Order: sequence, then structure tokens, then C-alpha cells
Amino acid sequence: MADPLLNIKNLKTYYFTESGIVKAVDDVTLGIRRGELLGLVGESGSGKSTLGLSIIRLIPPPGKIIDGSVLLDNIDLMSISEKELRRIRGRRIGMIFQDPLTCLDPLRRIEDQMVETVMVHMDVERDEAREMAAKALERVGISGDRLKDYPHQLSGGMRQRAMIAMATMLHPELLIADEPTTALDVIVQSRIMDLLEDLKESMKMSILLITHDLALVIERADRVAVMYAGELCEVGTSEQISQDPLHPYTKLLLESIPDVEAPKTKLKSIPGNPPDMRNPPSGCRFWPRCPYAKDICKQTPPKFAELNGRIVRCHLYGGGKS
Amino acid sequence: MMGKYAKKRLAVSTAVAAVGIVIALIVGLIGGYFAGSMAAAPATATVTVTETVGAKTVTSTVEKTITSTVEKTVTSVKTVPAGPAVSRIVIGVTDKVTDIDPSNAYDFYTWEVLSNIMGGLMRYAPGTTELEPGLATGYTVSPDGKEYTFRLRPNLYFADGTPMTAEDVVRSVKRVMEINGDPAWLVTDFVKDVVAVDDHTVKFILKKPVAFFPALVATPPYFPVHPAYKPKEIDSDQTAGGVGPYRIVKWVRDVELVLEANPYWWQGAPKTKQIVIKFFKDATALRMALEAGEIDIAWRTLRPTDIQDLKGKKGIKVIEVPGAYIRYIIFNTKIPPFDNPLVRKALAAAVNRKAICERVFLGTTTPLYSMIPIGMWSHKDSFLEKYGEHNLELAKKLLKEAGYSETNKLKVELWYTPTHYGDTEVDVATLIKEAWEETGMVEVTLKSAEWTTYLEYTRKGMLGATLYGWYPDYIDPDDYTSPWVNASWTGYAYSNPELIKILEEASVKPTLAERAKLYEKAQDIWAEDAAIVPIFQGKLAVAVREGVEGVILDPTMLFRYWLIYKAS
Amino acid sequence: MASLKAFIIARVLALIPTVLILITLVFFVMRVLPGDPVIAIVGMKAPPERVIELKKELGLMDEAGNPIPLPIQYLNYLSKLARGDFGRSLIWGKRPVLVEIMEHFPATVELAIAGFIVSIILGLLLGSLGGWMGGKTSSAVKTYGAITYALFIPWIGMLLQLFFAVWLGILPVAGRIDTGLEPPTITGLYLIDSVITGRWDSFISALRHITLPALTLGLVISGVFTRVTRTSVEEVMRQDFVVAARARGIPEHKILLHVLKNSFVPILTMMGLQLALLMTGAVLTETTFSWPGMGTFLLERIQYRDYTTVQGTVVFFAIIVSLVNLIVDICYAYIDPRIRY
Ligand SMILES: Nc1ncnc2c1ncn2[C@@H]1O[C@H](COP(=O)(O)OP(=O)(O)OP(=O)(O)O)[C@@H](O)[C@H]1O
Ligand code: SF4
Ligand SMILES: [Mg+2]
Repeated sequence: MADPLLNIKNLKTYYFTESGIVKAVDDVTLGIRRGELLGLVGESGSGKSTLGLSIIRLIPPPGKIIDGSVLLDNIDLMSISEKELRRIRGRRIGMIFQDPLTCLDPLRRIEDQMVETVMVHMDVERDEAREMAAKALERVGISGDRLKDYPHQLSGGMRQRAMIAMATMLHPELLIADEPTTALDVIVQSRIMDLLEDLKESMKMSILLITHDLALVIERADRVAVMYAGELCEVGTSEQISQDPLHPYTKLLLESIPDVEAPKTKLKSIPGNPPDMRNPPSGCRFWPRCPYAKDICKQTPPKFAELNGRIVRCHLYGGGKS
Repeated sequence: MMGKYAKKRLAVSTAVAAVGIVIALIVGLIGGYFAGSMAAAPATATVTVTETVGAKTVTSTVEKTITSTVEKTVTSVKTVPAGPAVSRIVIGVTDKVTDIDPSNAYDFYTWEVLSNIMGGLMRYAPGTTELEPGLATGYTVSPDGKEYTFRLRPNLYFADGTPMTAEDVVRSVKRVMEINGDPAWLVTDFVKDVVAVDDHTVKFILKKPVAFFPALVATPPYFPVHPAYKPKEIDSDQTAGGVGPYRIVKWVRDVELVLEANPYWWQGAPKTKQIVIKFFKDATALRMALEAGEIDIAWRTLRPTDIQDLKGKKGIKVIEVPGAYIRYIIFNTKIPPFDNPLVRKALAAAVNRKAICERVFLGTTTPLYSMIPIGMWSHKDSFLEKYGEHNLELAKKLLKEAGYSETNKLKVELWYTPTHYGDTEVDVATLIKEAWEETGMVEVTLKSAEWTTYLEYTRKGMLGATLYGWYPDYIDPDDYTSPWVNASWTGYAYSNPELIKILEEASVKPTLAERAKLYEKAQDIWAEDAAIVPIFQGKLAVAVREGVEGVILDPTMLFRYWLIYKAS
Repeated sequence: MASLKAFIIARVLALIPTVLILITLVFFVMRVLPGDPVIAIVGMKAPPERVIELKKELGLMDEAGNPIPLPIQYLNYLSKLARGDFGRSLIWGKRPVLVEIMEHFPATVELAIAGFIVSIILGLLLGSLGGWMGGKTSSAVKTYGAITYALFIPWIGMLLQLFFAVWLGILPVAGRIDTGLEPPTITGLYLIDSVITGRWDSFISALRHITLPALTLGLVISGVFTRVTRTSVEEVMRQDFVVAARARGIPEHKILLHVLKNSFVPILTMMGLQLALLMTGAVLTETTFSWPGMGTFLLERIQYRDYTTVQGTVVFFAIIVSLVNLIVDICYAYIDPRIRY
């Protein structure tokens, strides 16, 4: 893999709920390269957020990371201490979420929250920290004097910008953006995406963009990973995914986009229901909805196969060698 | 920007206060464990407060007197011979002191305190209900029985050394008449005028002859008070006192009262130098304070169960005597079926007094068979002689005579008031109901009314059978008889011309022997009429720690602090 | 920050009608309560003249002996109150009601504050612990809350008295301070007065006396606090900003502080409620420990039907409770900027 930044290997994150074990991330292996925008798409409940949170070990109970490793420059994030990990969170890996309002502490000024972040990671005076915060705000297009505002005094778009400013203030190498635009209206959405792309360029930062909007990903991302029921189905460049999808699920996803040229349209549903994650189908998890399903699909889970530098997990592509 | 600073200040001061209190509390918790009994009260308090005795709130008219008083105090204190060794007894009570002023105090506990910081011309010999001379050496009665002349002891002083004369008696009694507070009737109903014949002689001129007048003179409204008392106003927190064994050195309402031996008392300073009264709000705490040794004496009023418990405890002594408090049933003789003497007698015979005393009050009360309580002169068990105790046979016989039977039952309503006489009242009423119904010929409905309504209905003569209680005003058989005869507050429930005549005669006859005979007769008539039926008499119980001696109680219900001491 | 000032002014103004309504309510409720207070006071041994005299004193009758109509009585009462005249007690020397209240109020305030602090320390500590740790700790804290809330004050008070005073003999059973150790009155709160005047023996004595009542009161009330704190912290913990803060590498202890601040609004509301309740409702604790405060005072005067005192005290409480609520509201606005706008 060219210039890898982060390597996720055989990661398994399960939720141990009272009604059963949810294998939200099940044996996922994925690499993120330096400076790339990697899109992670999948239906609701497929485990995208869980994967994102697993990277920085913020899985809430009853969730637990069972197995696997996440290497950041050869540091295994899964085995370092909480204290060491804390130095990485916010500094080397930033994260932003879907709803910027609830992600900001409503009782504290933007400034206080930003300054706190700086001072946790860097040995600087308060004034310097404030300056950095102001700069970060200006970088995302908010005037520095909004620092004094409380979150509820900002508009939705501004809040997300503030969140982005906060997460990128310390120039992280990776930004995990979990549906950063879903809560915003269409025009603001694309502005935020523009902003993220700008930052990616100027800061040479990698972005893991989590979304269920395949069209958006194809438009913006360098590479795309498709997830279904806790497993990766396919990974490829945006071009490969949009022009030549391999996996039946990716194909269906693409077909459900009415017009590729109008990427703002929402994902349309695929026939059938997402599986019950506590009790997923045996074999290939997608087979009940797959138009190409064969007998083997129902019994044997497919394995990853490399195909012309692309990765896909389907019996159609010789994945049955397991 | 002002707002910002104000806000910061608010934050800072709140934080400081909170932190301060938290630290205080933590230190307290720790300190509490270590301090233990280390922090025993120092004796300094008594010294400092002594000087303030006598002149707290003074109107300008008496200022002169007071100034000289204070001077005298200072000089005379030096010449007073050394009193008894410093000793202290702590008494706990759940009662409260109302007005430290005889012109308005009208409750037993305050009267007790007044009797210890003041004194009357007459008083009760400890342990009896008999009178003995107090501040007076004796008295003479005019032939028509309307003039009582008392001769005062020589050399009487108030607690600060001010001499007391006949003029002080006159001033104090007239003050009570003028203020006309709750107990004033004890004076105004009887006394027309009071005059100082000379410095040591005081004469009362009565409206009519009153044989028990010396008993009245022993009540607080007749006590001479210090000139510091406001002349025309109730002086609730006045600590100057009168001529008594103790003087108040500290008074914190509802918390504590500290008394100190009065070196000027005519009998000489009492044995125990300091008496501390601690006011409790809860009988359980009172009991535990005794066990913990925080108090030496647990006085009014321990719970029956606690008394029972304490009896078995090592190092604690329980002393019980009959009290002056009585309980009884009023049958309104104007309301059927109680207009029928046979019915009243039958019900009087059926009552099960012993069951009430034992089951409801765990033996802290005694069955009573006369309105005049046990322990008082002339007391006679007339009801017991006539009807016996829980005599169902007699009751049935009388009911049959009145025309009732198992099939044609007598139906009565028995009224009680649920809180005024304590939580036990419903049990008392229930046991009476059970006893009556045991005859098989009576059906009882219990009815209750809130105290004021209860009083009002009784006054209006609307209730047939009611439960009431009585604390005496003055310790004389008269106060246990005449208040019910032809009385408006009972709705004129009971009247008997012969009895009225006897009681009137008894109230004017001068000698005890003559009076006793008349009261004995009155008690028999009372039992025969069975309109007001006695049930039980309270016992006084006091629990003391081992070593406390000299506790003498009697139906006057007054604890004499000057007799108690700690044996070492 | 003029808006905070404006907020406070608005709240103070809003207080006036509240208090007025309370006063009116108290006045009329007192009139419709069963039982004639006049008879209750004079009792069965008093002559009819006394009844008339008392009715005049109570403002029920004019000098000529004619009854005064209720609305006029009400207006008279209001005009007296406006002049700060709470009337005089009907019993025991007709002492001014305000004087009697002031004799008992500091004791209650002292106990209430001490009990309050105990309950807040216990409540916030255990509540946030439960909310923070979740799982078994949370259930344990839940059980603690349920148990303490159900505790009967006289019972737990008695246990403490029995253990610390009767058996161990290290703390007193009852009372506020040892005889003769009262500090000079400045605030009326012994603990504070003794510190101000530097009388450490008084301070220790007062502290020893307040320990058990404060513990009893605090323990029982802490149940409510732990419950509110726990649920509130748990709720805030579920909010996204906590995850977001963690994702920024903020250490847990700092996050806990932010969580607590966010949980504080419902806790504060509960505090206001409890403090007001404490002021009026420490009756049982006061009784158990013979604490000379307002609770027992009011209860006793109700028993004695001291009409004017009861009325005056209730009005006084109404004002205090309103003030406490006002303070709570201001704190509320201070903590949460969203409320000010
Ligand atoms: N705290 C939790 N407790 C139990 N199950 C959970 C928890 N969080 C997520 N899950 C389950 O794990 C699975 C994956 O959830 P996740 O939130 O990662 O999906 P997602 O792809 O991000 O979906 P969405 O698009 O709705 O955000 C779902 O089945 C979900 O029900
Ligand atoms: S493995 Fe089989 S069921 Fe699964 S996607 Fe491929 S063809 Fe469909
Ligand atoms: Mg998600």
C-alpha cells in the first residue's frame, strides 16, 4: 500500500447487548493513506460509526473491541495505554460528528472549549492557545471574535465549522468525519465538504469520511470502502467504484442513485431489509438480498480477493477460497 | 461590564462560603469524635451573667430603685457567707416555660419554675398537700371570714439583695389584678382589696368568705415579684424573679434555663448551687440524654414505655407518685338516656379502670374512684364503695331495671377528642366502649371531634357522654368539685341543690376537720348521682441518675429544686 | 452582561405578586380552618368577656364589639404587614411574632445549611460516581438513594443518638451548644459567630452538637440528591459532547467537571426545592434532637392555636421560600447562558 498512515487489521468490535451480541465491526481490514480522502459508505447500522470510534477506542459500553489492531505509524492504538492514546486523540487524529450542536458543550464558550483542547496537548500559555484557536476559526471561515460566543449563538453551519476548527486546530494527520454534513442543508453541505477538501490539501491531512451518501463519496473521495453488516464488501478508487463496481451490493447502491451527475440526491433503498445484526445470515451476509446469490453463498462466507489492485469480498470473484 | 464583576464576585463569595462550611463540617465531624467529653461546660458562664440579674428591662419610673438595687447587689454579695460547695444538677424536660411572669403564666411547668425562683406567703409542705407558712410566719382570719392578715418573716430579700416588704406583696397582687391575664381570676374572683398594714403585715379583704384562701395564696398569682417587673404589662422574659430559693442567671427560651442558689433566701441558700433546665422536644431524646449522662434528672414527661425500660437500667432510679391530673366522663344529665340515673349508674359500674391504666398507660396511671385525687386530704373511694370495679353484674341489674335487655339494647354515643389528650385517647375510649358492651345490653358508638369543636358542643349541651381531663388550679378539694357543678362550660351537665349547699359550706368553713367531713359527704353524693365519673389519675414519674437525692414529689406536681442534691 | 441584570430585576419584580398571592392564601386558609381559634386559646376555664376581648385583639371585632367583615380584616392585615408588623403572639405574654421568629430562625438556618451540605456532599459524590461509572456502581447508588430516601428521620436520628451518644458517649444527644458556651450573637449561627469571635471552645461545642442532626438530615435528603445527580449525570454522559471531548483527548477529570456543570441545572432546581423544604420541614430532625428551630416552633404554635404567630410564621416562610427560589433562579441563569436570552 502506498504511503500508509493507518492500518486497520482484522478489527472486531461487538456490542454485548441484553438481547444478543451485535457484531457491528467484524474482521475489518482497511488501510488509510497519507493525504487521501477515504469514503466509508454503507446502510444505516452497517457499523460505520463503530469502525470510526474503534480507531480511537471510544466505543461506549456495552461495546467492546474484541480483536484486531490499528497501526498508526507502527503504534498499535489498540494496545497502548489510555494515557498515550489521549495524546493521540485530538492531536494526531481528530474527529467530528453528525450533529455539531450536541457535540459542543452548551454551557461553555467556543473559546473555552478550544483553548482547553490546545492546553491539554501543548505546553502553551492561555493567550497563545487563544490565538491558535482564533487562527483555527479563521481558517474555517469564522471571524475570530466569535470565540466569545456560546454554541447556541452560532448557526448550524458555523457550528460544524467550529467543530472542524476544533478538530483540526492541532493539525492532525487523520480526521475522522462521521457524517459531517447529514444534519445540514444542501448548500451548507457542499461548503463544508469544500472546506474539508481545502484543509486536506493545505494540511496534508487524511480524512476518513463516513457517510451513507455514495454519490457524495464518489464525487469527493479518492478511494471508497463499502461496508455491509459489519463487514467490508469492496474497496477501490472512486473511479473504479463508480465506473466498474464489482460487488453486487455496490452495484445495487449505485443503481439506487437516480442520477450520478446530481450527487446531492439521497440514497435510495435497496430491496429487502438490512439483516438483524444479532443474528446475521450465515455464509455471505448479503445473500438474502443478493440477486447473484449461489448456494455456496448461503454456507460459506467469502474471503477478500485482490483483483487488479482492487479488493472485493464475494464468491463471484473467487472469494470462496476460505 | 459591571455585571461581569458582580458575577465573578458572586461566584467567588459562594465558593468561599461553601468551602468554608464544608471545611467547618469536616473539622466538626473529626473534632466531634476527638473532643468527646472534653468540652464539658465551663463554670465561667455563671459568673458573667450573675451581674445582669435584676435589671433587664426597666421602665423609667422604677429606674431609681434599680440603680440602688444594683449597687446593693455588688456590696452585699461580698458580705454573704460562702454558700454550699459548687455543684450542679441538670434537669431535662419536654415541657416549656411560657411566661416567667405570675400575672400570665397558667401552666404547670411554668408554675413549677416560678415556685423555685419565687415564693408565696403560704406553701405546701413537701410531700403533702398540706399548707405551711412560706414568706409569712402565719395568718389570722377575721370572725366574718372575709379578712386574712398575714405576718411576713423578718429580713426577706429579693434575689439581688433588695429588701422585700408588705408593699411588694400589695404591688404584685394588684399588678396581677390589673394585667388581668389568664390566671388572674384566682385573685380577682376572691380578693376585693389588699393593703400593707405595715412593712411586715399584709391584709387581704375578700369579696366573700373563702375557707381555702390560704391555698390560693400559695399559687403563683399571689407571689411577690421583684420591682423590675413591668408594672402594667406582661413581662414574659423577666428574670428578676421574687423571693425564692433560686435566681435565674441565664434564660434562653426553649433551650435552657440556668438557676443559681439565692444566697438571700430566708431558708438559707439551697444545697445545690446550680440547677440547669434543658428543654427537649422529644421524649426519646430526653430518655437518651439521661442514659448518656447529659442530664441528671429526666422530668416531665417521659413516655410510659421509656419509664418501663428505665426501671430496669443500672445507675438509674425511677420515682413514681400519684399526680394531680385526673380523667373522667361527663354524662349530661339533661340528654336522654343519661337523664336516667339508672343508666348512669350502670355505665359507671361497668367501666374497667384497671384495664385502661394497665393496657393503655402501662401502669403509669392509677384507677380513680373519686374526683378528689388520691393523696389529697378528704379523698374517699366513693365510686368503688358504691359500684365496685368493672362490676358487670351490677351494671346488668341496673340496666334491666331501666328497661333494657339483650334484645332491647341501650344505645349510647361516647365522644372523645383525638389529639388534645394525646394519641392514647382513642384507646381509652375504645376500652370504655368494650367494657360497656361487655354487659351485652349496651351498644356504643364512638364519636370524635376536634378539640375546639368538642369544647363548643359541650358548652352548648349537645353531647351526652364526653371524656375530659383536669389539672387543678389550686391544690384544694374545692378545685376538684365545684368546677363541674352547675357549670356553664359543661353545658350545665350536672347540678344538685344539696351538693351545691355542701360545697358552699365547705368553701367557707375555717377548719380542715370540718371541711374534710363535708367533702367526704360531697363525694358520696357525687357517686350516687354518677353524672361525672372519675376514671383514672396520672402518676408523676421522674427518672434520676444514681446519686441524685432529695427528690420529693406530691400531687402539687411541683418539683422542689431546692431539696435535691448530689450525694458524693 | 446586562441581560443577566435584566433577568434578575425581572425575577425580583415577579416575586411581589407571588408573595402577595401566598399571603392572601395563608390569610383565607387560616379563616376557613375548622375549630374556633378563640375558644381554643381561652380554653374551657375562661369567662365570655375574655372571648370578646380576644376577638378584638385578633381584629375580628371593632372596639364597639361589632364583627369586622372579612375583606376589611384582610386589608387591615395587609396594611399591617406592609409596615412590617407581623402582629403579636396570642399566648405567652403577647410577644411580637417577628421577635419570636427571629429567636428560632437562625437555629433552623444553621441546621438547614449543615444538613444541606452533608446531603450535597453525599448526593453529589455518590450521584456523580454512579452516573459516571454506570453499571453496578450505578445500581448500588440507586439502592442507596432509595434506602436513604425511605429512612424515617426520628428512627435514624435515634440510632445515631443511641450509638454516638449513649454507647460511645462522644457526641451529645440533643441541644445546640453546651451550657454557657454560646458565642456573642452576630449572625445567630453559632458556628460562624464563634469563628468570627475566635471562641474555639464554642465552635467545637456547636460543631459537636450539630454533627448528628446534620448527619441525619443530610443522610435522608442525600437520597433525593443522589437520585437526581445520578440520572442527570447519566443523561449528560450520553450526550455527544462527551464523546467529542474525549475524541479531542480531554482527560476524564476535566470531562467530569463539564458533565457535572451540565448536570447541575436539574440538581440546582432540586436544591432550591430541598432548601425551601429544609427550612420548613426539618421539623422531625429538630424534634428528635431538641433543636430550637422554626419547625418545632411552628408545630407547637399550631397546637396551641396561636393564630397570629402561625399566620405570621407562614407568611415569613412564604417570603423566605420565594427568596430562595429567586436565588436558585439567578444561579440557574448564571450557570446556563441559554436561559438569559
Ligand atoms: N451503544 C450500542 N449498544 C448496542 N448496540 C449498538 C450500539 N451502538 C451501535 N449499535 C449497533 O451496532 C450496529 C452498528 O451501528 P453503527 O452506529 O456503527 O452503524 P452506522 O453504520 O454508523 O449507522 P448509521 O448510519 O445509522 O449511523 C447497529 O446494528 C447498532 O444497532
Ligand atoms: S457472496 Fe454471493 S451472496 Fe454474497 S454478494 Fe457475492 S454473490 Fe452475492
Ligand atoms: Mg453512524
